[in-house]
Amino acid sequence: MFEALKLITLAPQLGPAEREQFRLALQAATAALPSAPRALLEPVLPGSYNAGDFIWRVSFVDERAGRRALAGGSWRDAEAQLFADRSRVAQVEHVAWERAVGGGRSPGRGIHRVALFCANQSPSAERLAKFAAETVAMPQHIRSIRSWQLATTSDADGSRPWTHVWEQEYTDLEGLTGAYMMHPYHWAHVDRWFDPEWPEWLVDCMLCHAFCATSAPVIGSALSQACPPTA
Amino acid sequence: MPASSITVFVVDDITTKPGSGAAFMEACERRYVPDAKARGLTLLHRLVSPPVWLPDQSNRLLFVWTAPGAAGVWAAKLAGRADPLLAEWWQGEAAAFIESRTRAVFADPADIAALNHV
Repeated sequence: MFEALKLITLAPQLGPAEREQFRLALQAATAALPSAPRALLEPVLPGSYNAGDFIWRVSFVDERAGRRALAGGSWRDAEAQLFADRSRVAQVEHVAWERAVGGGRSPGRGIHRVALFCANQSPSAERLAKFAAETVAMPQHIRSIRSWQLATTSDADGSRPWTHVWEQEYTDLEGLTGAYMMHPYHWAHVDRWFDPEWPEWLVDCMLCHAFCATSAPVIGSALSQACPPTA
Repeated sequence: MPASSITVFVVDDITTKPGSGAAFMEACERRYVPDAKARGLTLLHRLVSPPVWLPDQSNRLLFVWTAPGAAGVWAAKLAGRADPLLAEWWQGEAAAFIESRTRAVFADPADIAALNHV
């Protein structure tokens, strides 16, 4: 599977009608992408940070199909028209990836959360592997995580050269703001990779935390079959 | 007991470079401790081993901080991340005195169930 994701910040001076016009234009361009079996375009919910206004995400069956679709003339024209105008789009965080590990089963509708990380503090192979292993173990402890995926990026652009994409789906917002944030496996263990006070500090303090409401599964079903639900 | 009222312990375990124990303690109390308290942490203990400043060997220092539950830990963390001087302290000034260090979060075993019930 090949996936691409953007966090889109519209220019603050845009009014509601212009924002809706942008959303509809991006939705139409996305629907016209060849070989895109699954797409998400939703406004981010309050509580997100460094997240902008919209989460845009597309999934392709493999990298070849994805790159061909995103390099196609119609998408490139639409992308240039939608994103190049800085009076309309203030910031775009962009990532794409093929390599990912994941598991669980999507609740179908609920909350999708994505975090973009830049692991740029002494990122040795050993430290990156330990960070990834501890991160993907979170669903074993935090039961509100219904599906999840940790990806290493192949493309990244925006505020940082993003290295990791950490996604989860929840049944409801409480699963994210309550159990996920308040579980000690998170704040007393995994978070040391994100905290400049800890000797293990790995991830740049500038990270993106975005979540939105969903009405269909987001994280790949193929991965769900490959990795059984966590205990 | 509600999770917000459970005391959580944040422990810095620091081995100084030989002869740097007293100087690090002084620098820490001057440069770090006031800001950590302002972030909501309480300094419960400062401990030195052995209890003599060693001029040509390492001292081991323990700083035992407390915070009120997960919310207290997050509040201190997020306040620290907004302050670039904090990373400069640990990676610059403090590092000059330190041979090795660990930080870990502890709780009373009797509080584990409540902390995990989220």
